[in-house]
Amino acid sequence: MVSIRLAKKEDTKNIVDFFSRMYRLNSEFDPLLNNPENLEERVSKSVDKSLENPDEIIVVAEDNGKIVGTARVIVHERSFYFPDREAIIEEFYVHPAYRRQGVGKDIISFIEEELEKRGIQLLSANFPSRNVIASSFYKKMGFREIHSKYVKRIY
Amino acid sequence: MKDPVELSKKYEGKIEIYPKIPITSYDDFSLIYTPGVAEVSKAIYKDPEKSFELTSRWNTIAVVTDGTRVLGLGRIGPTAAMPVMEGKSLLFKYLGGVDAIPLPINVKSADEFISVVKALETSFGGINLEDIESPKCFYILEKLQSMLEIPVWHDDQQGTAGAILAGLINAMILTNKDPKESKVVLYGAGASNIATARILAEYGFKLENMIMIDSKGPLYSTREDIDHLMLHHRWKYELAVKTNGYEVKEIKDAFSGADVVISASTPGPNVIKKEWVSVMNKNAIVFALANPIPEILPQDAKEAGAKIVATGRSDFPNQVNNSLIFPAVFRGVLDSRAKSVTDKMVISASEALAEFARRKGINENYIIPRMDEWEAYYEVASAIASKAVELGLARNNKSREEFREIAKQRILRARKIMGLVVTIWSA
Repeated sequence: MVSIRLAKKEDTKNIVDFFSRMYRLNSEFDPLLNNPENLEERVSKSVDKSLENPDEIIVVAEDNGKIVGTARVIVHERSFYFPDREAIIEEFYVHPAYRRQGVGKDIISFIEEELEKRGIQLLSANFPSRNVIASSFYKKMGFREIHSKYVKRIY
Repeated sequence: MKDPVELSKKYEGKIEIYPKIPITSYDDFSLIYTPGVAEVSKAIYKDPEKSFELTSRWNTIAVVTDGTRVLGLGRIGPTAAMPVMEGKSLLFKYLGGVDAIPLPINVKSADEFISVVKALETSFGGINLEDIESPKCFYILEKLQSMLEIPVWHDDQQGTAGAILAGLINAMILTNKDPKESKVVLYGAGASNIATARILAEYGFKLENMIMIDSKGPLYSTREDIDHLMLHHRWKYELAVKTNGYEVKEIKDAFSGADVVISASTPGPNVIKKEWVSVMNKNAIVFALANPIPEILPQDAKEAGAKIVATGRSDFPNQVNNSLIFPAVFRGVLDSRAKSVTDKMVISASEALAEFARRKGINENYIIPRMDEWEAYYEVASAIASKAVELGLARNNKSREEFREIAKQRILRARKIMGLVVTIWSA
């Protein structure tokens, strides 16, 4: 039985592994998403900071003590819009053996409840445009496109 | 004549088409062609299913390739693939009485391949896909099977898997092993081993008890390249997630305590090491199917403790060869006018082959019939045809005995005509 909870310090190793896998997967979609060589090290530092930052939430899915999924949201200010705060899902990864079993859906529900407690009304997700698996997942979860980001390499 | 190029030069190819209807007078022309033929067309226009009765469609299949993975030669293209497709067509006729048209097609993408074959559907009773690179072959097979109302078969997947299962059924009986409890190593993750995993699971082996090994080692659900596989090789990805309940990461650990190894990898010898076989379970079964040299030589496998060894070669005992499967499968699907060919039908073919061998008396060196045991083909054809009836996929409902007799007559007829060819050419 998979359950969802907020991440703890001792989950760091698994979270770093999963987030790093996600960033490597992202690099498959677009050469502009190439990873640095010390990816794990960087992710590890950022996860450590997140766990201490009240504006960042990391959740984990757990099955009998084993981490099988994880996601991180970062809260941003929206100075020119209302509501004025928005949480963005920056990382989302489910262990391959646990995919297509509703774990992703449970993670999203947990994040929504957690944000509601904090009075945050907006949740969005950041992922490569070419990742059709992610776009179909978020559409199924009730998300819709609001902004587009166009990128150009200058040199 | 021992030279295949000289042989091809002498005969200028391997097959040709001859009419079935005798022409004895001038009046016959108006019956076989215009104006009489219009009546036949009108009948088919009213009921397209009649094309299986009034034309040769009922016994004609296409052997289609894009030439991207021909035998051991790789991507040699459709033109160079023709001799292989012609050879296959000859086997279809000789072993199954099936009229097979070699059809290498010049296409660039999988979707283009699919649309060409879809457009050919009206002319054929079945499609035999051949020598297409992986993973494209899985996508093409799945798509065409879902789109077409005639059986679509990929011999490198289903034919090989069917022959493997046939041999394995008897090897398991001889060694007193239970499919549900047995640990199976699949060495190699190409088209045939991936199809074999699927067919074995359908037969009763457990996916979690299987370990598939590719060039990087055992597949498991957290392997570093797992997400790459999800994007680029969905079929291998699915197996990586569902197999290897032991979560072993090293080849030697995969072999440890295994009951069966099925290898469809690169030619040996010594691709599979004796020390790996030596850590397998008691009465181990080793199928080393690479040609021309098995991944491990039978003698070496036996020295390392294997009880039963099968290879792809006819000069060793227990030749596991898809030629035992595909001619009879098509005989069966054509005789029953089946709308498709499913994994359950493949399994019934394997069971029929295995049973045929058991009736003769199985032993360590005889787990599967030899290619020249002609009656095996009638058994497999009738098993396939009656399974199609049972599954509601047949347009022609007959008993297994009737199908066996039909298959026998048609295969014997083909062989008799081929006998005439021999007489004419040697005159």
